[in-house]
Amino acid sequence: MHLQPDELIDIAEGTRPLSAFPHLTACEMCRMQVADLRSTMSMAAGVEVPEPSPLFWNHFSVRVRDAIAATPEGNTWRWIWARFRVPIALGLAPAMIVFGMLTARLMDSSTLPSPPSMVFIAHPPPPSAALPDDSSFNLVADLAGDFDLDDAKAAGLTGQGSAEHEVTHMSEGELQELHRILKEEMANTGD
Amino acid sequence: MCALCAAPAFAQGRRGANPESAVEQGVSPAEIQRMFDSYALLQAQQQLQISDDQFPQFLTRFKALQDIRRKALNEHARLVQEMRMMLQQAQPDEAQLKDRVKSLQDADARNQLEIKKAADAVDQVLDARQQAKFRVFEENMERRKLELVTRARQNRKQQQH
Repeated sequence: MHLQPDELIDIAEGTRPLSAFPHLTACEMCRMQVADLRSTMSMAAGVEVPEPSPLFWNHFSVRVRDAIAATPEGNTWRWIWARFRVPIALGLAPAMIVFGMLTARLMDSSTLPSPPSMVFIAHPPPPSAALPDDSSFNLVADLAGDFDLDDAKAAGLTGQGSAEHEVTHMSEGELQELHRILKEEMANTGD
Repeated sequence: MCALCAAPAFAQGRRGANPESAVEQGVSPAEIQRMFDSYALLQAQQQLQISDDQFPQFLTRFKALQDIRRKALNEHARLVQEMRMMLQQAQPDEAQLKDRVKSLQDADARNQLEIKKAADAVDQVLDARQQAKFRVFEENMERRKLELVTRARQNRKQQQH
């Protein structure tokens, strides 16, 4: 029986020795999987992660905490929408464009745009540019139209616009809570 | 079933075998990013109905795609940040600016190619229906992760009151 993914990862990470899996000596496929994983991890380890400007994030964190603290209980979602509707729209607009493009290309397996990088790199085309006449898209485009990247960054939804980037701005307590939620979500997924 | 085993291992990353230790010792953004990867993997396995036969290859290729995207975003952000710093100078050097713009264009183009290659590699493991689902899944997953971030912040705020 081939090695399970968790076993492959443990071997690749060095947390369990090769000798613990005699199957590896006889199975080229499993050995290749381990080699692939090691190569991927080595590549990931070489990635330089730039530090954001400390001053900017300090200011941002203070602003967000102050604003949340000033929010009346029970109105959090309304406040979030009121405060961040335009940056949220800015974040959603490219995603909707990507979704539209993908829908049009679903049958073409030779093209695979990458949503996160497109959101980050590509400028959204004008609403009229060969996109379906979708009212929700137009609404998002209208909302986002007069906001530039700096406004989005100031709102915490940066050009990266990703959850991973948001994570870099969270306090330790928030990270712990997110850790707990994620564990819960993953356990539920397995049910 | 494979994913259930793989995800905690992903999440643990280099932290070892004790998943509780992160909570006790504090959780880093990198740890959360690894958990996001595991979460995405679990969800993909379920939503795309990845078979046990497909899973080992899907696992490595999906992770490679995630890593390459992360590298591309970081590289882009670093170059933009460098340009921002240069533009804050009273007399920015035009030749240097031009060089940075060129570097950014080159990096974006190179990374797009790498992402495309990694995405193609994922596609090779999937059938046509799974390829379509994968595209929809990626859109939904990013939204879901942002929801979880928001929920964590709200919960934390409530805990403090």
